[in-house]
Amino acid sequence: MVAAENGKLLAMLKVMYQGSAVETGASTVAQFLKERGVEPGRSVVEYRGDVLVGEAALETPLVDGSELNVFRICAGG
Amino acid sequence: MSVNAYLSQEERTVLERVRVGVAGAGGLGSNCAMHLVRAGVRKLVLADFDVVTEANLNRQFFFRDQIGEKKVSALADNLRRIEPGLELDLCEGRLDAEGCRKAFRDCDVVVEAFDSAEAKGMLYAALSDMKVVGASGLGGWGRSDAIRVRRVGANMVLVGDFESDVTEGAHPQSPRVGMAAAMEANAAIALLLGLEL
Repeated sequence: MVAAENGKLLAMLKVMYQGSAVETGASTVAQFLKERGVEPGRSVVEYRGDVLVGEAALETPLVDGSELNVFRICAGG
Repeated sequence: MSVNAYLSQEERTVLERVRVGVAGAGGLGSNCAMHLVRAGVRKLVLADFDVVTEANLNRQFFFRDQIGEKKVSALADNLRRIEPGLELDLCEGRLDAEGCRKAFRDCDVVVEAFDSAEAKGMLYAALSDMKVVGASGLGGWGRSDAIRVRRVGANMVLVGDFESDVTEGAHPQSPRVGMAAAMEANAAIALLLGLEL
C-alpha cells in the first residue's frame, strides 16, 4: 500500500502498536515514535521482543508486520 | 531457619542463595524489600541517598523515631527485626549509570524503586542486560485494576498503570504505592523461582 506525501509515494507499513494494527509511513522506530508523539526519553520501547536502549537503537528499521509497544515512565516511588 | 515456613526445600534453597538489588528505599523500595525478606530472600543490596522525613511516614516502611536517619540504614534495622540473619549491602550515595552497574553487579534481580522518571530511565538503560523489575504509574487513589504487570523484552518486568505520575494533584499514597511495591516483589520472586509472573 502507498500514500502520497509532498508528491512522493511512500510505502505504508502495518505494525502492531499497543495491541492494535496501525499503518504508518515511518521507516524507523524513531520516526514512528515521533509520528505518534511518543517521547523516547520518558518511555521504555519494546520492538520485536527486545527493549531498545539508547538513541542509536531507535534508528532500527521498521519491519512490516512487527510488534511495537511503548511503556510510559511515570514519576513516583 | 527461614522466616517463611511455607517454602518448599527447593524454593528455600533458591531464595537463600540469590541476591536482590533494591534501587531506592522510599515507598516502593522499603515496602518491596519488606516483602522480599518475608518471602525468604536473605541477601539484598539496598541503595538510597536520602534520609527519613515525616512526610515519608504516609507510605514508607519507617517509623517516627527513625526521622533523620539514612533510609538504607533505617531500612536495614527494620528488615533485621523480621530476619536477623540477613546479608545486606548498603549504598548510601546517589547512583548514576556506572554506580548502578557497580552496586548491583552481583544481583540476580534488581528492583527499580526510584522516584524520578529520569532516574528510572537511567537504571533501565544501565542494567539492560540484567533482570530488572520496575514500576511506573502509581500516584493517587483508586483504580486498583489499572495497575498491572507486563513483561517487556527478555529481561524486564514493569508494574504500574503507565499513566499516573506522582504530581501535586496525585500524591503517592500508601495503598497504591504499597500495591505496586508488593507486585514488584511478587514479580521478582516469580523470576527467581522460574514461575509465571
